[in-house]
Amino acid sequence: MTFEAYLGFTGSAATVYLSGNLTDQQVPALRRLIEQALTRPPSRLVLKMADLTGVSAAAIRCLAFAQQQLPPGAQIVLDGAGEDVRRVLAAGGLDRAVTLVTQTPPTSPAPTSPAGPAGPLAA
Amino acid sequence: MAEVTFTFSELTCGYVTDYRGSRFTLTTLDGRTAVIHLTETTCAQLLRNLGEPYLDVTGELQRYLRPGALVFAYGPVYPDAGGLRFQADKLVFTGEGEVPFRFDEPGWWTGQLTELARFQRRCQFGEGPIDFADYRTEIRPGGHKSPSSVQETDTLSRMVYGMASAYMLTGDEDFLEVAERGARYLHDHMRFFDEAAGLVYWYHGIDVGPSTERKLFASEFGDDYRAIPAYEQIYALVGLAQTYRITGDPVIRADIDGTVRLFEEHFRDPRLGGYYSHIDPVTLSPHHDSLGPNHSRKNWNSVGDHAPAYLINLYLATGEDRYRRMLEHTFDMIVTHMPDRTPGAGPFVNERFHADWTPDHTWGWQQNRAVVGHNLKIAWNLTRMHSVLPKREYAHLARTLARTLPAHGRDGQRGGWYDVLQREANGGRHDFAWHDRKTWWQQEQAILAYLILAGTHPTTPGATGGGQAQGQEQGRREAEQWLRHAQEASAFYNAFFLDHDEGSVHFTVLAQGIPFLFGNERLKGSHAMAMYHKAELCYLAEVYTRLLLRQESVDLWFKPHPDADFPGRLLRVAPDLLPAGRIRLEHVLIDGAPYHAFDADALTVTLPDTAHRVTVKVRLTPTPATPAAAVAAAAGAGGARGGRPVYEANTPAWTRS
Repeated sequence: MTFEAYLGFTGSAATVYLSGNLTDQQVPALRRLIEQALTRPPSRLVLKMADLTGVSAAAIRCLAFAQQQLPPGAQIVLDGAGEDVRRVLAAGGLDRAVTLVTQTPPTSPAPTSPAGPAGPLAA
Repeated sequence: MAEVTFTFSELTCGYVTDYRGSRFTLTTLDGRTAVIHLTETTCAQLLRNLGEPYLDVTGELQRYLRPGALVFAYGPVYPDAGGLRFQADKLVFTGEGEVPFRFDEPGWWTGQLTELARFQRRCQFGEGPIDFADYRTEIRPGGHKSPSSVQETDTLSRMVYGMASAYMLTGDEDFLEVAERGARYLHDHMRFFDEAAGLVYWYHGIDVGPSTERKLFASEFGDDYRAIPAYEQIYALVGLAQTYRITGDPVIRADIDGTVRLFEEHFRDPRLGGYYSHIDPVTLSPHHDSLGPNHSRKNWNSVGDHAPAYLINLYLATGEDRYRRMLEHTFDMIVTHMPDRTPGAGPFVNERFHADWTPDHTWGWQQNRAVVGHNLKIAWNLTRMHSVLPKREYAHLARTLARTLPAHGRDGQRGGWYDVLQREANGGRHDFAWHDRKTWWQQEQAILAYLILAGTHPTTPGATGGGQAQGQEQGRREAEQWLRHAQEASAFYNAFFLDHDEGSVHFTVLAQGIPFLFGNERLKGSHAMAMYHKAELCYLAEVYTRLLLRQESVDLWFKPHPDADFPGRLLRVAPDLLPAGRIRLEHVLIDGAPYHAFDADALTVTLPDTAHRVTVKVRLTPTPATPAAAVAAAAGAGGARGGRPVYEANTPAWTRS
């Protein structure tokens, strides 16, 4: 499954939609999306992970780094993370620091900032 | 010289040469003569350790102001017609009679470490159970926690180091429990385990909330902001390695090895050697643009701090050659790249480098400045390493620094060692970068450097470059000088850094020894201070003084797990990297009973197969008649020396061993 990542905003929440296998090679795309999200900055950073088939440690580092840059009180929500993702997350010690939820219904309109399949950010 | 037209107060330190009526004369540490005037209100005290009451000797000046006594005199100074007139408000004596330096007494440093450990435990957990969820990095001067809810990984690990060291010297299991619980907390809360790569790296810290943890992944410290500095990963291991020496805990061992793998795979420069100072928190690359001024840089800490912080202790615990090789690499890089070999260069090493080892004199606060304590730390650790892997370059740099630093980095008027100086001299003097204050950890480096240099000095015939008799005499004098530097630094530290009112140790004192209690430097716990340097000082000063200089035994405690992960099931009990054959294992007690399965010369104990944890108490004793013991005896470690101290700055380089 090809990796894809999109960023969208709903109010003060930023949502990153992820699908495919998030390998080290795809992490720069995720990092760019998160950096763009942090510029607002959001009160909540949601990562839709139901369609992720795998995740690398570098991606978890990216989330850990993102959490540190969020304003106080803002949280990271991982929505629909599978067992593999949860295992890498726990090994990275980040499971205590994020909110894990099972898949929730769509809460946002169509993405406004498509990154494409590991491609550059749209303006 | 500028003319002084106003009064001020000053500290003068020196050796008494004469005492008549209401004044006495002393020779300062840098060889000048000073006359100190006593008044009817002058008060005097004897140096005291933490936990001891004030020791007033005001009524016994005749007894204490004897030739050869080291004294600190503080009071007003008047610009009289005949020169400066020093008046004594307070005097501090370092000892008396047969014990000229109280800190040379057996147990002084162990007692100090016990007090430090109790203070630290009380600050963090009170008298109740040990729960590291309550741990906080920031501790106010009186020992209370500040409102900050941050737990920094390094400071927690430094506390673990202090507690483990306190257990090793005392056998007090409460200290070990703190160390072990802290080590487990680090594993459970501060660790990032990269399962696929087999790497371990450590969060900068966590901000503890009522029900969640906010992870601080990259550094929050200004020098390293939003990067992963080698310095922090190195010090994350400081407490783990010391606890592992005692327990052999396989979980700790795995965490240490995973972090060493991080250093080797992501910090190390495989082409030009050494370790980069920072890596990007996501890519783990030292060359990522996000690193800004830390992009593709190496520094003293990223190369030189491995050894003292964890690597020597890891090698002591395992005896494994891969750690010895890593140690060798770091020291090879230090002697190859850090000394300044440009013509007319000053005594201080370079501390920051580009990837190709070109010195970087533009970085942040450092510019072209020298941290005095880093230079002392090099002298100390090269001397340790030289004991297990003798190299001419190690001994040469250690001794060159030891000979040249006092004239520039030490305060010859008041005692103690300065903080940061300009590397380039201005009119023959290395100006202070900001101030002339003194920090606790740099005193530690001076004490340990000169103790081990004196204790391991090659005063045997044939070890010098000159004739045998002449070389031996010069060597003996040099070893005496180095012991004297250690004692003078210890005197200043014990006289002015111990906080007898609130407990523990001051971060910084003014040049005159007055506590500097402003900003972060007023704190007893902070990003920069926890329980590493002051505990390391106590542990190793006790070891060096007793085993190398006073020819006395030292007892150490260990408590290995039944599944201890020690190679060959051998508990290695060497207290530090010391010259082969200098000490031996005299006896071993396991759970209080004599135990005979040990190698006295290899300093190893074959652990019994048991299902329960055992307590191993070992007695280490010096081998007879080592040259350094004679030096110690001659230099006054066990007896008073009359008159002027034997001290000369910039002694000729008589040896190039």
